Amino acid sequence: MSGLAGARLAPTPQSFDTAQEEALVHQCRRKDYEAFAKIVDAYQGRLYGFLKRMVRNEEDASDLTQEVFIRAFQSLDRFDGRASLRTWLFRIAHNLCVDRARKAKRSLSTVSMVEDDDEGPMACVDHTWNPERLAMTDELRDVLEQSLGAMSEKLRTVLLLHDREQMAYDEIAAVLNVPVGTVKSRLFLARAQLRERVRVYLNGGPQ
Amino acid sequence: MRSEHEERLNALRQKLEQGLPLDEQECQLLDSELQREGPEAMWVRELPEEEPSLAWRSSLNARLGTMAKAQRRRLVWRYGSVAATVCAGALAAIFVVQMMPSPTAQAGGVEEMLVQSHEHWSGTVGMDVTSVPEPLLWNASM
Repeated sequence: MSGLAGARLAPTPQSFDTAQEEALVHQCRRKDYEAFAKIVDAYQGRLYGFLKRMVRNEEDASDLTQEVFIRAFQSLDRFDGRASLRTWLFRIAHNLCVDRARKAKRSLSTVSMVEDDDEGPMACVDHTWNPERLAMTDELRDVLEQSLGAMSEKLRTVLLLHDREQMAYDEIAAVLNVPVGTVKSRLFLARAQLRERVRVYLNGGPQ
Repeated sequence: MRSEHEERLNALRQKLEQGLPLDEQECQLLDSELQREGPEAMWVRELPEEEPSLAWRSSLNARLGTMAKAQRRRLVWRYGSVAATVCAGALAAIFVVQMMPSPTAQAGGVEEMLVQSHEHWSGTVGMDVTSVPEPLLWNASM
Protein backbone atom coordinates (compact mmCIF):
# COMPACT_ATOMS: atom_id res chain seq x y z
CA MET A 1 0.00 0.00 0.00
CA SER A 2 1.36 3.34 -0.83
CA GLY A 3 0.51 6.71 -2.26
CA LEU A 4 -1.67 9.46 -1.07
CA ALA A 5 -4.53 11.03 -2.91
CA GLY A 6 -4.09 14.38 -1.29
CA ALA A 7 -3.85 16.34 1.88
CA ARG A 8 -6.34 18.63 3.53
CA LEU A 9 -5.33 21.36 5.89
CA ALA A 10 -8.33 21.25 8.14
CA PRO A 11 -9.48 18.01 9.73
CA THR A 12 -13.04 17.03 9.02
CA PRO A 13 -14.57 15.47 12.10
CA GLN A 14 -17.11 13.40 10.24
CA SER A 15 -18.75 11.29 12.87
CA PHE A 16 -22.23 9.99 13.55
CA ASP A 17 -24.66 10.63 16.33
CA THR A 18 -25.56 7.73 18.60
CA ALA A 19 -28.69 6.69 16.72
CA GLN A 20 -26.94 6.79 13.34
CA GLU A 21 -24.05 4.85 14.75
CA GLU A 22 -26.30 2.16 16.23
CA ALA A 23 -28.16 1.83 12.94
CA LEU A 24 -24.93 1.55 10.99
CA VAL A 25 -23.48 -1.04 13.34
CA HIS A 26 -26.71 -3.03 13.15
CA GLN A 27 -26.56 -2.98 9.35
CA CYS A 28 -22.90 -3.94 9.36
CA ARG A 29 -23.60 -6.94 11.56
CA ARG A 30 -25.88 -8.17 8.78
CA LYS A 31 -22.90 -7.78 6.45
CA ASP A 32 -24.22 -4.66 4.76
CA TYR A 33 -21.16 -3.40 2.89
CA GLU A 34 -22.66 -0.03 2.05
CA ALA A 35 -23.13 0.71 5.72
CA PHE A 36 -19.57 -0.35 6.43
CA ALA A 37 -18.36 1.85 3.57
CA LYS A 38 -19.91 4.84 5.35
CA ILE A 39 -17.90 4.01 8.46
CA VAL A 40 -14.74 3.70 6.37
CA ASP A 41 -15.47 7.04 4.68
CA ALA A 42 -15.91 8.73 8.02
CA TYR A 43 -12.82 7.38 9.74
CA GLN A 44 -10.24 6.45 7.10
CA GLY A 45 -8.53 9.86 7.04
CA ARG A 46 -8.41 10.25 10.79
CA LEU A 47 -7.15 6.74 11.40
CA TYR A 48 -4.62 6.99 8.62
CA GLY A 49 -3.33 10.32 9.95
CA PHE A 50 -3.11 8.93 13.47
CA LEU A 51 -1.32 5.78 12.37
CA LYS A 52 1.04 7.64 10.07
CA ARG A 53 2.15 9.87 12.91
CA MET A 54 2.45 6.88 15.19
CA VAL A 55 4.47 4.57 12.93
CA ARG A 56 6.27 7.28 10.93
CA ASN A 57 5.97 5.31 7.72
CA GLU A 58 3.35 5.83 4.99
CA GLU A 59 3.29 2.27 3.75
CA ASP A 60 2.98 0.76 7.21
CA ALA A 61 0.32 3.33 8.08
CA SER A 62 -1.71 2.36 4.98
CA ASP A 63 -1.44 -1.34 5.81
CA LEU A 64 -2.36 -0.78 9.44
CA THR A 65 -5.34 1.39 8.50
CA GLN A 66 -6.64 -1.42 6.29
CA GLU A 67 -6.05 -3.87 9.09
CA VAL A 68 -8.09 -1.71 11.46
CA PHE A 69 -11.08 -1.83 9.14
CA ILE A 70 -10.69 -5.54 8.39
CA ARG A 71 -10.57 -6.36 12.09
CA ALA A 72 -13.47 -4.04 12.79
CA PHE A 73 -15.58 -5.71 10.12
CA GLN A 74 -14.68 -9.18 11.36
CA SER A 75 -15.47 -8.40 14.97
CA LEU A 76 -18.41 -6.02 14.78
CA ASP A 77 -20.47 -8.76 16.43
CA ARG A 78 -18.36 -8.25 19.54
CA PHE A 79 -18.81 -4.46 19.55
CA ASP A 80 -21.11 -3.96 22.53
CA GLY A 81 -21.73 -0.23 22.06
CA ARG A 82 -20.50 0.73 25.53
CA ALA A 83 -17.80 2.86 23.93
CA SER A 84 -18.34 4.89 20.80
CA LEU A 85 -17.44 3.50 17.42
CA ARG A 86 -14.62 6.05 17.20
CA THR A 87 -13.16 4.91 20.54
CA TRP A 88 -13.40 1.30 19.44
CA LEU A 89 -11.69 1.93 16.09
CA PHE A 90 -8.89 3.93 17.68
CA ARG A 91 -8.44 1.21 20.29
CA ILE A 92 -7.95 -1.32 17.50
CA ALA A 93 -5.48 1.07 15.84
CA HIS A 94 -3.58 1.57 19.08
CA ASN A 95 -3.42 -2.17 19.75
CA LEU A 96 -2.05 -2.72 16.25
CA CYS A 97 0.62 -0.11 16.92
CA VAL A 98 1.56 -1.85 20.17
CA ASP A 99 1.75 -5.22 18.39
CA ARG A 100 3.88 -3.72 15.66
CA ALA A 101 6.19 -2.09 18.20
CA ARG A 102 6.54 -5.40 20.06
CA LYS A 103 7.45 -7.20 16.84
CA ALA A 104 9.94 -4.48 15.96
CA LYS A 105 11.41 -4.67 19.43
CA ARG A 106 11.80 -8.44 19.15
CA SER A 107 13.40 -8.31 15.73
CA LEU A 108 15.45 -5.14 15.93
CA SER A 109 15.69 -4.41 19.65
CA THR A 110 14.51 -0.89 18.94
CA VAL A 111 13.04 1.50 21.46
CA SER A 112 9.31 1.15 21.38
CA MET A 113 6.09 2.05 23.09
CA VAL A 114 6.13 -1.13 25.11
CA GLU A 115 9.05 0.23 27.07
CA ASP A 116 8.69 2.58 29.96
CA ASP A 117 8.87 6.29 29.37
CA ASP A 118 12.47 7.19 29.10
CA GLU A 119 12.31 10.86 28.48
CA GLY A 120 15.64 12.48 29.01
CA PRO A 121 16.00 15.52 31.18
CA MET A 122 14.45 18.52 29.49
CA ALA A 123 15.19 22.16 30.01
CA CYS A 124 12.73 24.02 32.19
CA VAL A 125 9.79 25.48 30.34
CA ASP A 126 10.21 29.10 29.45
CA HIS A 127 6.82 30.80 29.45
CA THR A 128 8.09 34.20 28.42
CA TRP A 129 8.14 33.61 24.67
CA ASN A 130 5.00 34.23 22.69
CA PRO A 131 4.14 31.23 20.52
CA GLU A 132 0.60 32.46 19.82
CA ARG A 133 2.08 34.80 17.26
CA LEU A 134 3.47 31.92 15.25
CA ALA A 135 1.83 31.30 11.91
CA MET A 136 1.40 27.74 10.72
CA THR A 137 4.03 27.74 8.02
CA ASP A 138 5.32 24.71 6.15
CA GLU A 139 8.49 24.99 8.16
CA LEU A 140 6.64 24.98 11.46
CA ARG A 141 4.63 22.01 10.25
CA ASP A 142 7.85 20.13 9.58
CA VAL A 143 9.15 21.06 13.01
CA LEU A 144 5.92 19.88 14.61
CA GLU A 145 5.97 16.60 12.73
CA GLN A 146 9.58 16.05 13.69
CA SER A 147 8.87 16.95 17.29
CA LEU A 148 5.97 14.53 17.38
CA GLY A 149 8.20 11.85 15.92
CA ALA A 150 10.88 12.47 18.51
CA MET A 151 8.40 12.18 21.37
CA SER A 152 7.87 8.86 23.15
CA GLU A 153 4.98 6.93 21.63
CA LYS A 154 3.03 7.02 24.87
CA LEU A 155 3.07 10.81 25.01
CA ARG A 156 2.48 11.14 21.27
CA THR A 157 -0.58 8.90 21.39
CA VAL A 158 -2.24 10.98 24.08
CA LEU A 159 -1.35 14.27 22.40
CA LEU A 160 -2.78 13.13 19.06
CA LEU A 161 -5.93 11.67 20.53
CA HIS A 162 -6.66 14.72 22.66
CA ASP A 163 -5.46 17.71 20.67
CA ARG A 164 -5.89 16.26 17.21
CA GLU A 165 -8.90 13.97 17.56
CA GLN A 166 -10.41 16.04 20.35
CA MET A 167 -11.21 13.02 22.46
CA ALA A 168 -12.19 13.42 26.09
CA TYR A 169 -9.90 12.13 28.82
CA ASP A 170 -12.11 9.17 29.66
CA GLU A 171 -12.37 8.25 25.99
CA ILE A 172 -8.58 8.26 25.68
CA ALA A 173 -8.33 6.25 28.88
CA ALA A 174 -10.66 3.68 27.30
CA VAL A 175 -8.59 3.55 24.11
CA LEU A 176 -5.30 3.09 25.95
CA ASN A 177 -6.68 1.14 28.90
CA VAL A 178 -5.02 3.42 31.43
CA PRO A 179 -6.42 5.60 34.25
CA VAL A 180 -7.64 9.12 33.44
CA GLY A 181 -4.91 10.57 35.69
CA THR A 182 -2.27 8.93 33.51
CA VAL A 183 -3.87 10.47 30.43
CA LYS A 184 -3.72 13.92 32.01
CA SER A 185 -0.12 13.64 33.11
CA ARG A 186 0.97 12.34 29.71
CA LEU A 187 -0.86 15.16 27.96
CA PHE A 188 0.78 17.74 30.19
CA LEU A 189 4.23 16.30 29.52
CA ALA A 190 3.59 15.94 25.79
CA ARG A 191 2.55 19.57 25.44
CA ALA A 192 5.50 20.72 27.50
CA GLN A 193 7.88 18.77 25.30
CA LEU A 194 6.31 20.06 22.12
CA ARG A 195 6.48 23.62 23.37
CA GLU A 196 10.10 23.13 24.34
CA ARG A 197 11.09 21.71 20.98
CA VAL A 198 9.39 24.50 19.07
CA ARG A 199 11.07 27.02 21.33
CA VAL A 200 14.45 25.49 20.54
CA TYR A 201 13.63 25.70 16.83
CA LEU A 202 12.62 29.37 17.13
CA ASN A 203 15.82 30.15 18.96
CA GLY A 204 17.74 28.66 16.07
CA GLY A 205 18.71 25.53 17.96
CA PRO A 206 19.11 22.05 16.49
CA GLN A 207 16.09 20.02 15.48
CA MET B 1 13.47 35.69 37.34
CA ARG B 2 10.77 33.10 37.16
CA SER B 3 7.34 33.72 38.53
CA GLU B 4 5.92 31.57 41.27
CA HIS B 5 3.50 30.01 38.79
CA GLU B 6 6.33 28.92 36.53
CA GLU B 7 8.16 27.44 39.48
CA ARG B 8 5.10 25.45 40.39
CA LEU B 9 4.70 24.27 36.80
CA ASN B 10 8.27 23.10 36.63
CA ALA B 11 7.93 21.32 39.95
CA LEU B 12 4.79 19.66 38.68
CA ARG B 13 6.53 18.57 35.50
CA GLN B 14 9.44 17.10 37.39
CA LYS B 15 7.08 15.18 39.63
CA LEU B 16 5.18 13.83 36.64
CA GLU B 17 8.37 12.83 34.86
CA GLN B 18 9.48 10.95 37.95
CA GLY B 19 6.06 9.31 38.28
CA LEU B 20 5.51 10.67 41.79
CA PRO B 21 1.97 11.04 43.17
CA LEU B 22 0.45 14.55 43.14
CA ASP B 23 -1.21 16.34 46.03
CA GLU B 24 -4.57 18.06 45.69
CA GLN B 25 -3.12 21.46 44.77
CA GLU B 26 -0.92 19.92 42.12
CA CYS B 27 -3.88 18.04 40.68
CA GLN B 28 -5.78 21.33 40.45
CA LEU B 29 -2.79 22.98 38.80
CA LEU B 30 -2.58 20.13 36.32
CA ASP B 31 -6.28 20.42 35.48
CA SER B 32 -6.12 24.18 35.04
CA GLU B 33 -3.03 23.94 32.83
CA LEU B 34 -4.66 21.32 30.66
CA GLN B 35 -7.80 23.42 30.33
CA ARG B 36 -5.76 26.47 29.40
CA GLU B 37 -4.87 24.72 26.15
CA GLY B 38 -1.94 26.72 24.87
CA PRO B 39 -0.81 27.08 21.27
CA GLU B 40 0.53 23.51 21.17
CA ALA B 41 -2.99 22.14 21.01
CA MET B 42 -3.85 24.50 18.17
CA TRP B 43 -0.72 23.54 16.23
CA VAL B 44 -1.49 19.86 16.52
CA ARG B 45 -5.09 20.47 15.51
CA GLU B 46 -3.99 22.43 12.44
CA LEU B 47 -1.61 19.82 11.13
CA PRO B 48 -2.74 18.72 7.66
CA GLU B 49 -5.01 15.73 7.39
CA GLU B 50 -4.16 13.16 4.77
CA GLU B 51 -6.53 10.72 3.15
CA PRO B 52 -5.49 7.31 1.90
CA SER B 53 -5.43 6.97 -1.87
CA LEU B 54 -8.19 5.56 -4.08
CA ALA B 55 -5.93 2.57 -4.76
CA TRP B 56 -5.85 1.95 -1.02
CA ARG B 57 -9.62 2.10 -0.90
CA SER B 58 -10.12 -0.33 -3.79
CA SER B 59 -7.62 -2.68 -2.20
CA LEU B 60 -9.63 -2.54 1.05
CA ASN B 61 -12.84 -3.19 -0.88
CA ALA B 62 -11.23 -6.19 -2.57
CA ARG B 63 -10.14 -7.61 0.80
CA LEU B 64 -13.60 -7.09 2.24
CA GLY B 65 -15.12 -8.76 -0.83
CA THR B 66 -12.83 -11.76 -0.42
CA MET B 67 -13.82 -11.98 3.23
CA ALA B 68 -17.49 -11.84 2.29
CA LYS B 69 -17.11 -14.68 -0.22
CA ALA B 70 -15.26 -16.79 2.33
CA GLN B 71 -17.98 -16.13 4.89
CA ARG B 72 -20.69 -17.05 2.40
CA ARG B 73 -18.85 -20.28 1.56
CA ARG B 74 -18.59 -21.11 5.24
CA LEU B 75 -22.31 -20.44 5.69
CA VAL B 76 -23.24 -22.54 2.66
CA TRP B 77 -21.02 -25.35 3.88
CA ARG B 78 -22.42 -25.20 7.41
CA TYR B 79 -26.10 -24.96 6.49
CA GLY B 80 -25.66 -27.24 3.47
CA SER B 81 -24.23 -30.02 5.60
CA VAL B 82 -27.06 -29.62 8.11
CA ALA B 83 -29.66 -29.75 5.32
CA ALA B 84 -28.00 -32.80 3.75
CA THR B 85 -28.00 -34.61 7.09
CA VAL B 86 -31.68 -33.82 7.62
CA CYS B 87 -32.58 -35.02 4.10
CA ALA B 88 -30.59 -38.22 4.53
CA GLY B 89 -32.31 -38.88 7.85
CA ALA B 90 -35.75 -38.31 6.34
CA LEU B 91 -35.04 -40.65 3.42
CA ALA B 92 -33.74 -43.29 5.79
CA ALA B 93 -36.86 -42.98 7.94
CA ILE B 94 -39.13 -43.37 4.88
CA PHE B 95 -37.16 -46.38 3.71
CA VAL B 96 -37.34 -48.05 7.12
CA VAL B 97 -41.08 -47.42 7.38
CA GLN B 98 -41.69 -48.94 3.96
CA MET B 99 -39.60 -52.00 4.68
CA MET B 100 -41.45 -52.82 7.89
CA PRO B 101 -43.89 -55.82 7.56
CA SER B 102 -47.60 -55.11 7.77
CA PRO B 103 -49.10 -55.77 11.17
CA THR B 104 -50.04 -59.46 11.64
CA ALA B 105 -51.96 -61.27 14.28
CA GLN B 106 -49.95 -62.61 17.12
CA ALA B 107 -49.52 -66.35 17.07
CA GLY B 108 -51.91 -68.12 19.44
CA GLY B 109 -53.93 -64.97 20.06
CA VAL B 110 -57.65 -64.38 19.67
CA GLU B 111 -57.07 -62.52 16.43
CA GLU B 112 -55.25 -65.48 14.88
CA MET B 113 -58.06 -67.79 15.94
CA LEU B 114 -60.63 -65.54 14.34
CA VAL B 115 -58.60 -65.33 11.13
CA GLN B 116 -58.15 -69.09 11.02
CA SER B 117 -61.80 -69.64 11.72
CA HIS B 118 -62.77 -67.25 8.94
CA GLU B 119 -60.39 -68.90 6.47
CA HIS B 120 -61.63 -72.35 7.41
CA TRP B 121 -65.26 -71.31 7.03
CA SER B 122 -64.79 -69.60 3.70
CA GLY B 123 -62.76 -72.58 2.46
CA THR B 124 -65.51 -74.98 3.49
CA VAL B 125 -68.22 -73.00 1.76
CA GLY B 126 -66.19 -72.86 -1.41
CA MET B 127 -65.54 -76.54 -1.28
CA ASP B 128 -69.27 -77.30 -0.83
CA VAL B 129 -70.25 -75.45 -3.94
CA THR B 130 -67.60 -76.77 -6.21
CA SER B 131 -67.16 -80.30 -4.86
CA VAL B 132 -70.68 -81.67 -5.43
CA PRO B 133 -70.51 -84.04 -8.46
CA GLU B 134 -72.88 -83.25 -11.31
CA PRO B 135 -74.62 -86.64 -11.57
CA LEU B 136 -75.68 -86.36 -8.02
CA LEU B 137 -77.32 -83.11 -8.77
CA TRP B 138 -79.15 -84.64 -11.72
CA ASN B 139 -80.38 -87.54 -9.57
CA ALA B 140 -81.61 -85.19 -7.01
CA SER B 141 -83.65 -83.26 -9.51
CA MET B 142 -85.31 -86.42 -10.83
